[in-house]
Amino acid sequence: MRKFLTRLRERYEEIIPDLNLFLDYLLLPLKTTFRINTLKAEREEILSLISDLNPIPLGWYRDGFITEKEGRIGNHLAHFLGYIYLQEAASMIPVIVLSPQQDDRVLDMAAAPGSKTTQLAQFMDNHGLIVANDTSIKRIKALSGNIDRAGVINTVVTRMDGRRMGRLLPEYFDKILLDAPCSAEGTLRKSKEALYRWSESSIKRLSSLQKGLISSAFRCLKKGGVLVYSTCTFAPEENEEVIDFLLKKFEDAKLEEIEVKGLKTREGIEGWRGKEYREEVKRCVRIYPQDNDTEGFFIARVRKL
Amino acid sequence: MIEKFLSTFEKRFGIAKNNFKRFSIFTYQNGVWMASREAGDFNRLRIQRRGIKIARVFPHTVKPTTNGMQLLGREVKKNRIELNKEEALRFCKGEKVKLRKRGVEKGFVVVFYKNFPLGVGLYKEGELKSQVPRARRIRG
Repeated sequence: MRKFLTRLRERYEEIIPDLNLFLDYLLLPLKTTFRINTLKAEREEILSLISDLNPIPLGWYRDGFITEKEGRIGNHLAHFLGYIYLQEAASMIPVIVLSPQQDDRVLDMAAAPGSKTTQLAQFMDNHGLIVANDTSIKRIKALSGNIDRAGVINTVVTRMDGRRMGRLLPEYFDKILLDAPCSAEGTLRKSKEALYRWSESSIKRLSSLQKGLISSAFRCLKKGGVLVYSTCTFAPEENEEVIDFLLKKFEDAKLEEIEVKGLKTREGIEGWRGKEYREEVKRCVRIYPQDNDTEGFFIARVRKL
Repeated sequence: MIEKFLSTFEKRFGIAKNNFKRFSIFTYQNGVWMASREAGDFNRLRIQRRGIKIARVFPHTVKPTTNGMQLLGREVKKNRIELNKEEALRFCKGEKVKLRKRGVEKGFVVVFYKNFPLGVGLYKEGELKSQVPRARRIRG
């Protein structure tokens, strides 16, 4: 882990502010956070059932809470009932930024294991349509289990390479979430797994996959529709570079400002390793672990003109 | 199959047929599934699954699913069983609970803790057998 942090320090010393604090936070364990799921019960009923968890509101999202209670939340009656969903706080943000409406047609292009799919369904109050796609059977099984437990009925699950969807469903969706497969540097507080797969070459490979996915996703979007692109990594090749690529490729793609009240965010970076991005890319947001005591995240909101 | 499901849910649990009108109800293998209308109509891609399975239809009976009753349970008027907290936890672990209830017919019942529908049990001769699938149970 120490060795890995040194590599991160070398890689990011020029772009990440408060670098020492950033690295310190990567070593801290994450707080247990969850979302309440109002598809199956009223908010007040759920809160009465979980009073023993002493839920502390996140402050920037009505349905997100922290608990300091020890023990397995997964065995709580409210979890069994599907009234609470264990979800890292920062991973709740992309859906808030997308904010789908009840009768929207929504695509969740890389959906498994489903924390964001079920959150989308909650925003839509189980109306409209979500197409939740993923490629791996194993991950779709987990997605399926979470759909069952959360009581989501407005969702169809598909299994295909997201890069094919643009040709099959052009201009079909009002809102699209692409929470892309990534090098997951931002998840180190939760699990060290990303560490073992991390390499410069995998970042390069993922960046190319992400460009393929975002192009396809943008083709699926109706005129006037919104695409939210997110990753849980800090690598600019997988973040600003992907957005810069999209803006260059599609003249009708416009990056929008993101604001979540009460949440601290940083601007997207304007260049990396000799490459300069469009100035617009500053409208993307970076969420560093030290800013809100969460995982790291990157989020961009794009509208099709 | 859908008619058999609708009339069983009405007769046994008092859930009126028109409760399902605003949804898409369809069958797949021996399951009855429920989805939003838009999700029910979507046919542009090959689908792995759509909505939630709410019941299974057998030759002699219709068995509601845990996931289905957690969603629809509030509409249940008949064959409800209310458990206390200790019994509820045992039920969620998949265990049997000994109890006698008046006005409850033998067969599938919907089980509650407070007003929260936990799932489906099989009630027979003073015993409630949890039907919560293994993967959904509370462990420990």
